[in-house]
Amino acid sequence: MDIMNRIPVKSLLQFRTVSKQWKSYIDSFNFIRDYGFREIHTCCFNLTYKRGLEGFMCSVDENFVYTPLNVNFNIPLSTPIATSEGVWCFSFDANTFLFLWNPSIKKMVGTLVPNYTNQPDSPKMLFGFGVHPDNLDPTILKINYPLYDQGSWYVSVFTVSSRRWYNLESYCLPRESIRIKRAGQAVIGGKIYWVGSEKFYGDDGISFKIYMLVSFDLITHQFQLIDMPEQLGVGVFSPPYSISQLHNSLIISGSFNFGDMRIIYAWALQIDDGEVSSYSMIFNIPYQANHQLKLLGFNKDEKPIVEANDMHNIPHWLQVFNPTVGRFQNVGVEGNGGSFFIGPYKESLVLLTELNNELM
Amino acid sequence: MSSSSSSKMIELRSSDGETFHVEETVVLQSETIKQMIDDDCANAAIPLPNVTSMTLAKVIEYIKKHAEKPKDDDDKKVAEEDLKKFDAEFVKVDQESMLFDLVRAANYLNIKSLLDLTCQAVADSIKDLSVEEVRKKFNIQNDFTPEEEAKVRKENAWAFD
Repeated sequence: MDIMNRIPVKSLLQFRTVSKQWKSYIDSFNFIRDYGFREIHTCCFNLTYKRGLEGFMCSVDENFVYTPLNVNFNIPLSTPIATSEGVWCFSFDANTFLFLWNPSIKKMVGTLVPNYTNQPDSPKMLFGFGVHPDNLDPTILKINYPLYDQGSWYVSVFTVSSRRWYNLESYCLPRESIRIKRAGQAVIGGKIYWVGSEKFYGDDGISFKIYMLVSFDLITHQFQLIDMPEQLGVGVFSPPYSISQLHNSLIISGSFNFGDMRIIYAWALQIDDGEVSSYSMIFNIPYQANHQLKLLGFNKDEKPIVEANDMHNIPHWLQVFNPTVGRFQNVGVEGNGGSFFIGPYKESLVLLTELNNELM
Repeated sequence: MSSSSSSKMIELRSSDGETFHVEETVVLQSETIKQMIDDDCANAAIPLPNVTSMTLAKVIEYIKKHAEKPKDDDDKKVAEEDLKKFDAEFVKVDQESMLFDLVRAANYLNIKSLLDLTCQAVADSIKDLSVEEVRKKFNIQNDFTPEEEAKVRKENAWAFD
């Protein structure tokens, strides 16, 4: 019914108690799927960060008013991995388990991270997360490869619908010399994207890296490598850089020195049929050379939000680009370096039928 | 007007037998009627057995307004604002049953923008109701035992604050 699809999730959670029929209708797979994800204009995104030993989680509106969220997990011990369609995935307590959190219905479920003795050491363990585009099944990836030498990839996949981990066959994996850069991920068009690299040695014996995009298809569970257009200059003059997204574009961002300034830039990439079909630079903004900026995401006006510090000070600041003055400005939050993470707010019924706080 | 005289008129007949004459360009907003015209089934009056004359009159008022074409860009902005105001007023109906009739008519006639508008209006009229008010409005029997209801309620207790 087109009408129930337009009712906010909070009201739907109440209406589950109207009658048994209403409950089973709202709880049904088809309704949850068709309800999908909706952006709420009054809430831009959720922000988490740490300051000292404390952790914070709040919702942020378009005027950068922060509203603390009541969460029933320990924020300092939780590390955000990714968000997809408003659903968050965290690793908890040094990767002992992972949990998923849908803030719009305040639902949280966890899964233990499996240990396989035949797989390489865990320091290079990497997680990925995305929501299946058709059935909205939350899907987690655990990727292992050797820390130093080359060697096979080991990838395990967990889906909420199956409630179990399974290991991917080798034909689904990229070649073993590929490494994924821990610079975030994006989920677009049913695929998770990371920046990847491959190390080569020149005739002079000096190593160099070629960068590419690594994707994981949430439907077919296959990895794929995608060439990065050379014009992006990625890797030539400006690693490290970060990956994020803006609507349906993949955003690759980095900084480089230019005279006595530094410049932060971002490219928007469109990907079709496993290739970069078009790309354009969406911003390049100079800033003081003794600062460091890392792109976190975008506000409602599509202006970049960054984590910034000046190298001499320990606290990092949340800053947003103000086009009228032509520079980044503080928006009233400071925290530990590398602890800032933002995810767009979307309402959905994902995880509705799971028991809250359950370990799957 | 010269433009209306050059446009072909289509005759629609409501369930209670009343006929309405509407310009073809206006009535094409209904995918259902467009299909009938394309299939050459619109030579005589088109019978709409699911739509009463009262509802049909409202639907025609809506599609006529939405068929108006602005002359230039300045006019376009004004027209958009005007259309927004019209839509907001349009769904303020005295009888709530009229809103449901409009949803059904928009669905049957396949007029997407009208279906969106009326469904949203119904959703807006429901979303802030209490559970008891919803039961009353739709005449729904609560078939939960008090214990069962309390249990379902407890699953998302925060939503009832």
